[in-house]
Amino acid sequence: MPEQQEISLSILKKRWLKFKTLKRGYYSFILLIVLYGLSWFLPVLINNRALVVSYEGDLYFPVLSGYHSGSEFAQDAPGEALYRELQASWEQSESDNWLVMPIYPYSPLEDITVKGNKMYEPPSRKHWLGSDNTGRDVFARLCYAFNISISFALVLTILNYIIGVIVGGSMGYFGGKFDLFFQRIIEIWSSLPMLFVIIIISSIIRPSFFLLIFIYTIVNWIGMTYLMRAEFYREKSKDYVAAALSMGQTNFKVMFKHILPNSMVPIITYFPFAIVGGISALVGLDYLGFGMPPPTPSWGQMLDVGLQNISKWWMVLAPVSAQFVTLIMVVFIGEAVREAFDPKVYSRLR
Amino acid sequence: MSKNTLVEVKNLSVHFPVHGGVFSKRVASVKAVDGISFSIDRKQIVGMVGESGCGKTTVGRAMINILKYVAPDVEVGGSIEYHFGDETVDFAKLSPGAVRKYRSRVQMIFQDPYASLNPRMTVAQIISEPLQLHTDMNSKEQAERVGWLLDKVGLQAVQARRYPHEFSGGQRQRVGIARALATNPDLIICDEPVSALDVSIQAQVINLMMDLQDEFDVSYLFIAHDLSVVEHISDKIAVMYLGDMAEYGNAQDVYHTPRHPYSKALLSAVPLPDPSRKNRQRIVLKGDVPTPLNKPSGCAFRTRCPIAEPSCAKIKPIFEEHAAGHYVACPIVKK
Repeated sequence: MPEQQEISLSILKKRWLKFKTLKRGYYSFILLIVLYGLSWFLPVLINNRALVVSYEGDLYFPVLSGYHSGSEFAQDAPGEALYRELQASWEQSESDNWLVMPIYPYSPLEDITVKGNKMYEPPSRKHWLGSDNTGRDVFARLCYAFNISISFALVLTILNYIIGVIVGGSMGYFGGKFDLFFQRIIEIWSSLPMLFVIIIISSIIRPSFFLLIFIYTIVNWIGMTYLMRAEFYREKSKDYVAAALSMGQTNFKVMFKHILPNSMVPIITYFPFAIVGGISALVGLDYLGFGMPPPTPSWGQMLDVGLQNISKWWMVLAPVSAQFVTLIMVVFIGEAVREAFDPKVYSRLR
Repeated sequence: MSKNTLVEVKNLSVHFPVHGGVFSKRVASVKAVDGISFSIDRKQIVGMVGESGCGKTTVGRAMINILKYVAPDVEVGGSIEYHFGDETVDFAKLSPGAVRKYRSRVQMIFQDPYASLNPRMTVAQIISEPLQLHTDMNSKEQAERVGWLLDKVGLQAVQARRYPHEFSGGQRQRVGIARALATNPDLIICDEPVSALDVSIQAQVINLMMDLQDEFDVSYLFIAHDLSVVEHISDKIAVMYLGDMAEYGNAQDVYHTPRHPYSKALLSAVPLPDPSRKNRQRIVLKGDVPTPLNKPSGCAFRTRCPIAEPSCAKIKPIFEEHAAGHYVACPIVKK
């Protein structure tokens, strides 16, 4: 018998290979993953604290160790050391002390109170995208806000999916009274006016990252239950489920080992669009002022401030373009995923 | 009950309630199976035939106790007593948790080989699943057993790494057979295992199943609507009509001397590849099968029966022994 040339591929692997051939979506996916991965290293890439300081023979790592007062490095100023100034003065005086700054030596939080920062500075080689109404660097804020936006959308979506799959899946799988009961609960629950709930809650307590996710999850898990209920309902009547049950598999295993892998299509195809929804939701809340607490860098807050200072074009253009590019990349991914999952390609009648 | 009996089905009924109205009151019930009795001996093949919708598949599913998963409010009456060694277990009354222990003894082969194998699992995963559940084999022993089983059903051990969609219908059904045999069961319920296959493949699969029955000493409940297939392989034949058992007896008796008018009509419809018998009498039944929601009173078959009498509408016929081991539910033909 000749050696078997053909390698057996699972359906998911086939779809992944198909996804890879859809260049626009695939490259958007790679780019977004790389950018998001990089954004976790922002404190060493974009920061006003030095990476390494060599002062009087001792080594300091302010990025890791945090606050060092200016007096520690014989700087004649109150508060935290100003590393950019230190670097300039040491280079001028050709002293033996040296320090290494991050690639982009501005922090998203340092405002006009830090010496040298000015309000409404137009884009320049110093501030790539200018500075805003409190003298904060727009580019630094943009990058940090990217990390927060994507993280928010990811955590929110994954949490919603977990709850939605468990509740919707159980409804479809067990059916009967359980299904009826949860359908009514969901109908009542989904009529909650979410925006008002958030506005009321955030006017009582100051919202944080996880509180916002919690509030959004309260209502947003419902969307997934409809899809998963239908999927589980359809799949459970197929014979492979009967086969698994007749060999004594537990309900839990049947649901998550047999049915769920066959119900992944809506989960994966909706995922990019749910991310788009999550990013937009945070931007909207921040724009209205009910989102993250004020100093946190966020696109919505930048947009709000930019609109108040519409003549300073860089303050509006920067957050709008960042959102536009990010969202369109996610949509490209979503389109490619949808096409890769097109059942026409891998149907039985191939 | 002889010592050799594997399973005794007594007065089995399966009713699916129908709800309607404002408060979802129970308005009727679909009597899919309405009080049938038969038994299967060890190493015996019992064929079960009947028109579509007469409850054959429901009997099969009731016998492996999986009806409740799909229809939680189903009502199963009567008893399905299995005799495993010294133990006697009634599948109709056990809770789902208690049944699990005996699942390895009764397995099922499904009609549609495309739907009965999980498309996301390789053949090795599919066949080793019952081994994981019911044996304490390690993964190496499982892989060996899977290869051995694949060899037994006429596939190659190297094909274990493949996915179901890479096989033809006949090959998939062989995988389904291998899965059913994995735990050395006492009874395999074959729910029309060949009706989705090409005629040329049907013969291969049936011969394979008969060889395996010899080798594994397993009993089959062979559900089909092809009488010539059933006659070929069965020791006993049960004829069902609209949830009732019409006739039950040795295959030769039922096939060659049918007594119930329904069996006679069914058998006269079997195509025979013999031109000399072209002019045999053909009994054509009029009308359609009545709905199991509203079954005719008395004998369910009376609306289409060529020999029906007025009394048929009044009394439900008793399922009684007309000749040795040959049970018929028709008081008219007894006379």
